[in-house]
Amino acid sequence: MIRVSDLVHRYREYPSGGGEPVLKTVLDGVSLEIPDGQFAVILGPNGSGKSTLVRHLNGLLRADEGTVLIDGLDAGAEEALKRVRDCVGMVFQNPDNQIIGATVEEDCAFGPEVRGLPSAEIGRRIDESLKTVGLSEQRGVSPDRLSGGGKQRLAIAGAAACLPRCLVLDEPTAMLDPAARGEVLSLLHRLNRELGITVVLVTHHMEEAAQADRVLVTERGRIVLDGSPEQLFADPAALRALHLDVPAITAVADALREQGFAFSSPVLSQRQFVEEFLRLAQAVGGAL
Amino acid sequence: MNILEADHISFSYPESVSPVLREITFSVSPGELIGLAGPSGSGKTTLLKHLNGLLRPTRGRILFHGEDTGRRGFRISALRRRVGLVFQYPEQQLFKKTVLEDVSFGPVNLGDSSEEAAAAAREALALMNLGGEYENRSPLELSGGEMRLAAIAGVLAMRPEVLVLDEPAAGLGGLAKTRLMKHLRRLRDETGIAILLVSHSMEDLAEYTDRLLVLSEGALLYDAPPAQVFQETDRMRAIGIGVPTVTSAAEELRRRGLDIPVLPVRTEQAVSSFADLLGGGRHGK
Amino acid sequence: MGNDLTIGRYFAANSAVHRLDPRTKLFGTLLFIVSLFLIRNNLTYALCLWLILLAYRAARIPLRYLLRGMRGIAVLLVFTFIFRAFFSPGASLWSWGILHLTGAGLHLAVRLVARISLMILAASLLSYTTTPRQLADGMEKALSGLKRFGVPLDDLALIVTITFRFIPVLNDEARAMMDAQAARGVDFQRGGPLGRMCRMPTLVIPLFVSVLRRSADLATAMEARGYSGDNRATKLHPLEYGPGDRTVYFLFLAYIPLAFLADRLTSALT
Repeated sequence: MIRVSDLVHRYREYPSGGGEPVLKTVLDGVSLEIPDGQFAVILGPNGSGKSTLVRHLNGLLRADEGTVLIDGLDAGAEEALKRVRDCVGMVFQNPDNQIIGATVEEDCAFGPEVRGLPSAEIGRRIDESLKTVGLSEQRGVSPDRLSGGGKQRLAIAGAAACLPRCLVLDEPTAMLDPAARGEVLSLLHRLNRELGITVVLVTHHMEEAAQADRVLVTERGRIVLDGSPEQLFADPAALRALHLDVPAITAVADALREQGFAFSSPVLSQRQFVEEFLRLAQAVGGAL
Repeated sequence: MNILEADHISFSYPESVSPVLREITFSVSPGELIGLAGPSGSGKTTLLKHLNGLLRPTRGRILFHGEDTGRRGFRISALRRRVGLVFQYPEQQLFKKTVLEDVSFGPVNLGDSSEEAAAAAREALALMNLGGEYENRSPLELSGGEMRLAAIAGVLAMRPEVLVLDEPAAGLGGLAKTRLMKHLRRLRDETGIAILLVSHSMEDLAEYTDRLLVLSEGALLYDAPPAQVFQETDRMRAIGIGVPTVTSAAEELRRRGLDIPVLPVRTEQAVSSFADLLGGGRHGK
Repeated sequence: MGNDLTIGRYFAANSAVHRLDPRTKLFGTLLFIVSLFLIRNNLTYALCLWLILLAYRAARIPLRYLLRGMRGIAVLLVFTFIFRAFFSPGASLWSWGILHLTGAGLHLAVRLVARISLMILAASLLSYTTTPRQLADGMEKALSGLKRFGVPLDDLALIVTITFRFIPVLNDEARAMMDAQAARGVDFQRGGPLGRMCRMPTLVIPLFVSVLRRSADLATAMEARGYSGDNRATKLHPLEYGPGDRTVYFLFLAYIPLAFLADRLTSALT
C-alpha cells in the first residue's frame, strides 16, 4: 500500500539574528512499508520528524531525495497528486482548523465537490460517511456546536467521503479529552476492521499504540524501532531513552516482574494483566 | 486561615436560565495541591474563573482571606494578583518580543516599576527552569513545552498565593506531561504556593494531588483525598471521569475473588499491594 | 459585543422563505433597500414596515429575533433621531437651551431612523433565512458572467463561506484571550476608549498570530482534501429556480408600482 524508500527531507532555517540560512535535515533516509489493511502507529518525541513524514504520504510535502509510492503511484509526481489524494485521506490535530463548512453536511461535501462528482453521488457519499461516524442526526448543525470529538469525527467523515484506501492522522486526539479520544479511536478501529482501510496514526498516547498492529518510533529523522506493540513495550529501557513512557498497567507489570513475579513481557491491557495475575495467584495458592 | 473560600456559589449566564454552577462550597489553604476533575461541560472552567474574579457568582460569595470579594469597594485587581489563573494552551498568549518582556507583562500591568517587574520575572523564570539565556529569546522561538513554562512563569511573576491551572498538561505527551506535573509539585514544595489544577488524567490526579474536587453538572460531589474518592469506582464511571487504570485493575481482581479491602490509586502503591497479594516480593530473578 | 451581531446569523426553520433560491432573496433585499432611498414620504415607510413584518412572519422568525437586531443599533438610532430633530435648521416648535425642535428636523429624523431600521431588518431577514454558503453560491451564480472576465468567483465564494464559518470561532477565541490577559492584570474596561485602544495590541497580536496559524492549517487541510485552485467543482445543492421563486419575483415587480403609488398618495394627503 505504502512504500517509502530512503526518504530525505531538508529545509532552510533562517537564523533570527539574520545571516545565511542553515540547511536542516528533518528526515534522514527513512524507509518503510505499510501493507494494505494495517493499523500502524507512529510515535516519537516532538521534532523527530513524524509529522513531516506523514505529510509526504499524500503529497503535501515533496521529498528532496528518495521516493514515496502510494499503491504504486509516485506521491512526488505532480500528475499523480490527484489520484494519490483520492487514495490517502488526511486528518490533522486541530479540529477547528480543518472544517470549512457552515454545517456538518456542507463540510463533508467539500471533498466530493472539488472532485466534480454529480450532486446525487455527493449526497450518497455524505449519507454513508455521516452514518459511519455517527453524525447523521447533526447534518444541518453548525460545526461550532459539536464537541471536540464530534469535530474530529466530522473531519474523518470528510476524508472518508472521498473513499480513500488509507487514512493518515496526525495526532488527531492531542487536543481531546479521554472520552472523546476513545470515541475517535474506536471509530478508527472500526474503519480499519470493517472497511479494510489502512490507518497510519501519529500519536503520543501509549494506550493508542498498545492497540495497534504495528508501531514505528521516530527519532531525529530516522525510524529507530519498528515492530508489534508487544515487541516495543517489552523494552521499557529503550523507550525511556527515547523519552517515551509505557501505559500504566504495563509499568506495574514490569515492576512486579522485576520483583520476581512471572508476568509476560510486556503486559499491554488490563484484561491481560488480570488474567495473568489470577493465574499467578492461583499458582501461589495464597490470596484466594 | 483559608486563602480562598467558595461559599455556596451558584452561577448562570445572563442569557440562559439553567445554572452552570450549583451551591459550590470549598476552600483553599496555603500549600495545598488540589485537583479538580469532571466531565466536559461540568462547569470546571467556569468555576476557575470565579476564583480570580473574572466571573461573579449569581448567588453565594467568594471569600479572599475572609473578605467578601463581592462587597462594594473590594479591589478585584488585588484578587487577580494573588490568584494567578493559567488557562489552557497558555502559550497562545505570548506576544512580546522577548521572553523577559512577556513574563514581566503581568507585574507591569499591576503597577510594578520596570525594574521590579524584571526582577519578579527573572525569579519566576528561574522557578520554571527558564533562566539565563532564555530571557532575550523571542517567545515564538521556544519549543512547545518551553513556551508553556514561560506562559506559566508569566503568571507566577505576579507572585500569587494560589496558582490555578486549567489542564496544564493539555496536549503534552507522556514524559513531557510527567515532567510538568513533577515541576508543579516541586514548585509547591519549594515555595509553599497553593495550587489548584484541572486534569483529565486520573493517574495524574491520584499521583500529585492532596485533595480532589469532583464536579458533575455544576455540583460539587466530592472533596476528599484522591485515595478516598477513587474507591467509588462505579460512581466515578457514572459521572464520566473513571478511575486510574491500576484502580480499575485492582477492582477487577477483587471482583474475581481476591481480597483487596482498599483499592490502590497510585502506581507504586499498586505495585506493593499486588506484590503482597502474590505472596510478598520474592527477590532474585 | 459579538452576541448582538444578527447580520451573519442563520436561524434554521422550515419556511417558504428559507426554501427560496438565494438569488431571489438577494435581489429582493437589494430592491427593498434601494426603494427606501427613493421613497419621499415618511408614511410610506409604514407600508414598508408592514411588508417586512409579513416577510418575517412568512419566514417563521420569532419576534424576539427581529427585536434583537434592532437592539444592537438602538443607541445609534436614538442619537440620530436627536441630532436630526433638535439640531436641524427651520422654524422652531419647541426649545430648551441649544436644543431646537423643528418640523423639518422631525421629518428628517423620522426618515433617517426609518431608513436605517428597515435596512437592518431587511438585511437581518436575509441572513436569518439564508446560510452563508447559500449566499455565496447565490452571488456566484448571479454574477457568473464575470467569470468570463477572469474574476475568480469560485474562490471568492469560498473565501466568504470560510470567513463566516470562522466568525464564531474567532469571537470565542478573542473572548478567551481577553480573559487570559485580564488574569494578567489587563483591565479592558478601564480608561475609556483611549485606554482600550492602548490595550488592543495585547489582544490583537496573539489573535493575529492565531489567525495566521489557522489559515496555514486550513490551507494544508484543504489541499489534503483535494483542493487545488483549478478544480472544476460541482455542488451538493446546485441552485435552481423553483415555482416559489417565480411567484416571489412577481411580488417584487408588484412592489415597485405599489410603493410608488403609496408614496404619491400619502404625499397628496399630507
